[in-house]
This record gives sequence, structure tokens and C-alpha cells, in this order.
Amino acid sequence: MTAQPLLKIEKLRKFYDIRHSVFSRVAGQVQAVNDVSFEIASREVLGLAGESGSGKTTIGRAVLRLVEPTSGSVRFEGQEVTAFNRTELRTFRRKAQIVFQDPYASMDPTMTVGGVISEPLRVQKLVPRSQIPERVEKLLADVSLPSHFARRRPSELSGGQRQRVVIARALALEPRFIVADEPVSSLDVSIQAQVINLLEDLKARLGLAMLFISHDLAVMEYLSDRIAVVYLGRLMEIGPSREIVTAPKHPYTEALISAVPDPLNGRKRIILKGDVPRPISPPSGCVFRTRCPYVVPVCCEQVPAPRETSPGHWTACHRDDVL
Amino acid sequence: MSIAEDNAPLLAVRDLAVVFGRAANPTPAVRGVSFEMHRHEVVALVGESGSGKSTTGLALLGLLTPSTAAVKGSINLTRKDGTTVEIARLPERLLRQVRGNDVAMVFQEPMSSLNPIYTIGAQIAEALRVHRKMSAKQARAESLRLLTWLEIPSPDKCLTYYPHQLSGGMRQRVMIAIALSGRPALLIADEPTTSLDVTMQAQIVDHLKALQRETGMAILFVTHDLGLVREIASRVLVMYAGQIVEAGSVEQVFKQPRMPYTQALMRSRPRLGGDYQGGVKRRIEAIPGTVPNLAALPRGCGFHPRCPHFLADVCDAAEPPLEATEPGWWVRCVRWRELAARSA
Repeated sequence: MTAQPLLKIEKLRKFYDIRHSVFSRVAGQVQAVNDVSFEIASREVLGLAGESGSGKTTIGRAVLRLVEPTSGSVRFEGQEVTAFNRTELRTFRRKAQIVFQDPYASMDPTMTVGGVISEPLRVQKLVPRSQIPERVEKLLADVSLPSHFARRRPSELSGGQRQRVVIARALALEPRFIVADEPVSSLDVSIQAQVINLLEDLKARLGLAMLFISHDLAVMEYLSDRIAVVYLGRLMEIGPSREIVTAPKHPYTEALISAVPDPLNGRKRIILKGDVPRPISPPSGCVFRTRCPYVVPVCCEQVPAPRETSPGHWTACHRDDVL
Repeated sequence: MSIAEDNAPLLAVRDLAVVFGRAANPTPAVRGVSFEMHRHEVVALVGESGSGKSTTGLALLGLLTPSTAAVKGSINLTRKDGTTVEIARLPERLLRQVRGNDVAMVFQEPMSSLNPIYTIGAQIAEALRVHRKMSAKQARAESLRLLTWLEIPSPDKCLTYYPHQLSGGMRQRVMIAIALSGRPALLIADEPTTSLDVTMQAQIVDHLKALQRETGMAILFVTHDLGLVREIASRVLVMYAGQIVEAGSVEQVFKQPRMPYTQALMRSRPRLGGDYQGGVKRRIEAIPGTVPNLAALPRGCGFHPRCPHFLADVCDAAEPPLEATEPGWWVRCVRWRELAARSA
């Protein structure tokens, strides 16, 4: 990791208040994200893995301040994002963009593809109007779409083509950092590979840093330099992708990896019992202890602090010596 | 396809064709699908969206009505009493006896299959009363047994819940419990774990495997996930543009796929923890283009516009037949011999 990371998140928290009706007092809190810290270097892809309800999407949005963090710090290029005013936030969003999962829901169906892609340029007024068509053409070429697509409507495009348009829109402002929230999950297998390879090319060509959010660990390992695993809003493990996948140190990561079916070799699977606990009342101590095969009494009492188990590989587990 | 077996197959599908839409603008979703399934067998039906895999599943339950789709071909199912019925021509009244009792289905999205205004208990009990003519008391006991077997925590409480109070994994278990209520000989599972997380998927797949071992129920597992196929099935049918393009044992087909589409599909997915060469991960190979529009299919082989082995005037001349390459292994590609020889 470089001395000055592009993005540095410390003790990030996002709690949602629960009220039984609009006027009643707060009855409890959903701990969507709890004390999450990590860094992303410039040109680095960090994969954020976790199951539904783990808080991975909330982390992605809190980083861009699309949701306001409850507490904690988000620093981008050394500046505190949580303290940005409106003008600063606007400048920040030129450098940091997001690609959502569902390319059907993330485009205005009445706009043309050219209009969708050039909207950020028009809003930010970075490029003279006369140059916009030229930029759109270049952006379409970047995502391997022919230039006549600029005149089409989203409804005329396939899922894979739509996701390329969404990526082109995110690239329009030449960002340094992109949050990609499940960008290939809604696509067919044969189309997924096209978009995955496109993201990889863009990363190499444009030097983008990325927070790649997914539940698909195989795709994540393929695209990411490092992987962070979250469970019930807390960071369980973070380290180099290949190490996380082949030699996980956290029992949750071990179970998660073992559950991914492989077409060529049967894996020895660790079946976790039951469901993820409700984030309204997470277990005391380690949040994973209720499903952990290696649980001991201390797991109920103390939240495990992350420890560096090998260079650059951090694990939050009282029993990180077992694996 | 004909498979030499001494006992009669549980299910024999011959030349199944399903056409949606009006005569002026027909959309052939399934085009001449034939296969057999035997008792105790888990067969995977693999394909992308638009391949016809789900439509095939619906046809097997007689769920396609003449007003929406024209169904041709035959679907012969051996019932539990030993008689054989032709699903494609059975009147609705008789179909109702077959559904649930002989064939049952689990769909992808449990939330849209469960009724939001009835409790789980009421919905399982309804199935038990209809299919097994149970009294309310018997139905409750049997529901508890099913939910316990599926490892639902506190099953008696679960019976009082409404669908929205359960997690996706628990809802899918309830769907499986309902599907099992009539003790069917064949379960059609249409992407039953696609909306679930991997750890929950592993639990559900384990249940289905145990179920198949214990009851001998045959399962037709419809999916797009090749890893899951490996996990659960012994035989695989690969569909593309409404046709079976390769069929065989999972072992054979996955080790050395012979249809270029199957080959391309295998190479288009990264493998978790695998495929490193000198510390660098092998680049995945995308299949160019998109799945063909069923209303305007390409001439000849349906895969030819995307195939790396396309040969003009050969692949686009005539539709290739599904050829037996060796016992139990079929491939729909005119060039398979040549390609297999080249890779050997």
C-alpha cells in the first residue's frame, strides 16, 4: 500500500433508527455498518464480499455520501468527505462515481443513450456543448459500443449493452474512483464475461481505482487486488485476493468460499447452520459466533479486534490461530 | 434421445415444441426437445435466459395453456400407480391429480409463489389436504415433520408466520415443503437457489440431495450455474435457443465438452481459487454477441453467429442434428468429430 491511499475509511458506522410510526420515538437501531476501516490505493481494486444484509451496499453508498454515515471518517485524496459542503461534494462526485446493479432501473427510459451518457457532462458543465457529441462517441468506444448507439433508447438495448452504457456514464467525468455495486449480477453468464473483461481493461487503461461490491466470489477474485469480507455490518477479514480465497483465516470466509460450487472439482463444504441474525439485535462479541464452528466462550464477550495475520492480511477473529 | 434401460423411464419427453405468440409472429421457445428421466436420477437442465429451460419445466407440469402457447410433441409420465399419462394432452381435471402428487415444482422466487395473506401453516396444510386428503390435525403434524426435516428453527412458530416474516432461504424451504407434501416422484426445481446467498444455497442443495437419497425422488434441476450442476446432478442437458445442444454425464461433458457453446460457457466463468498460471489468473473468454432473438433465429445452427468454429456454408446451411457421440453423450454440432480430433 502506498503512503497516501486514495481512499481511507476509518471506523465507519451507519445505524438506521427504527420507529414504529413516523411520530413515535426511536425503538431501536439497525446496525447496518459498524466500525469498518479499510484503504484503497490509487489504481487498486478492492472487492467487498458479503451476503445480503451484510452492509456491503451501505458501505459503498456511505463512501460516496449517497447515504450519510452515522460516524467515522471517509478521506478521499486526504480530504474528509464527511465534512464536504455542497460545492465540495459536487467536485468530489466528478472524481468518484458509481455503477449500480440493475441497468434497467438506473437509466431514464425517455432519454437517448447519448443523453444518458452526456448528462454528467452537462450537469457539471466541464465540456462545451459543441464538444459533447464527440465525447459521447469516445465514451461509447471505450465500452466497445458503436457510435450510432447514441441515438438509441435504453429499451432497445440488451442487459449487457445497458450495463456498458451505465459504465460509460460513470466514466464521462474521468473519475479516479468507481464504486461498482454488483455490476454483472443481473447479466447472463455469457454476457457477464464481456462486462468483466471490459472492467478489467478499463482498470488497466484508465488507471481507475474501484470498490467492487459483489456476492459472486469467483468474479471478485478475478477482478480484485484485495478482498474485504463483511458480515452483519462488520469487517471480518481483508487481504490479497488469492490469499483470501485459497488460505482464508476467518471461519466465515472459510465457509463462504467453501459454499461456492465449482464446475470441475467438488469442494469440501462447510455448511453454516441457520440464517444470518437480524441486524437489529446482532449477537454480542463476535457477530459471527452464532454460526461459527470454532466458537469458544470469549467470542461471546469481546468484539475481536483485527490482527495482521500475515503481511497485508488482517483478520478479526479470536481464533485466527485455528485456520 | 433413447436410453437403453431395462425399466420404463419415469419421464419420456419426445420432440417437445413450444411456440408462444400468434401465428403471424411466432416465437419458438422450445424446439424439438427429447429426453428421458429415470427414478432416483438428478438431471440438470442448463441454459441462459431465452434458452427454453424454464418453458420446458412449465410444459412438464402442463402449465402452458393453449391460449398462451402451442405445445407439440409428447410428455409421458409414469404415475405412482404404474399407469402412464400423456401430460401434453391431459385435461385440466386430470392434470390437477398429477400435479403435486406425481410431479411438483419449486420456483425461483419464493415470495411470488407464496400467498402473502395466509400463514405458512395454512399454505402447507392446504397442499396436504388437497394431495393427501389429510385432516387439519394430521396436516399440522405432517407440516411440522416436513419443516423439522428441512431444519427450520422452531417449526411450530414458523407455521404461524406470514411469508414476509421469513428470510429468503426459509421461504424457499417452505416452498420445498409444499412441493414435497404430495410425495411426488419427480421434482422440477427451477433455479431454486438463484435468489439466495451462497451459504443458504449450500444448505438448500444439501437438503435436495438428502431428499433424493432418502426418498428416491427424481429431480430436474433447472439452472444457469455450471458449478451447481456439478454439485447436484449426474446428468446434464445443455440448452441453447430452445434446443438441447449437448447432453451427457456431468463427468464427461464438463471434462471435455464437445459442443462449442458448452466449451465457451465453461471458459467464460472465472473459477474461484483456480486457473492461476505463474501467479497470474487465466483470462476468461467472453462469448461475443448476444443470445439470438427467438422470433428471428439464425439459419442452420442457432449458435453459429457466436461460435469461434463457425464455417460458412456448413454451420449456416442446415440445422445440425443431435448426434450420439458415444453411449449416453449427444452433441448438436456438425463439426464435433473434427473439433474433438483436433483437441485430442
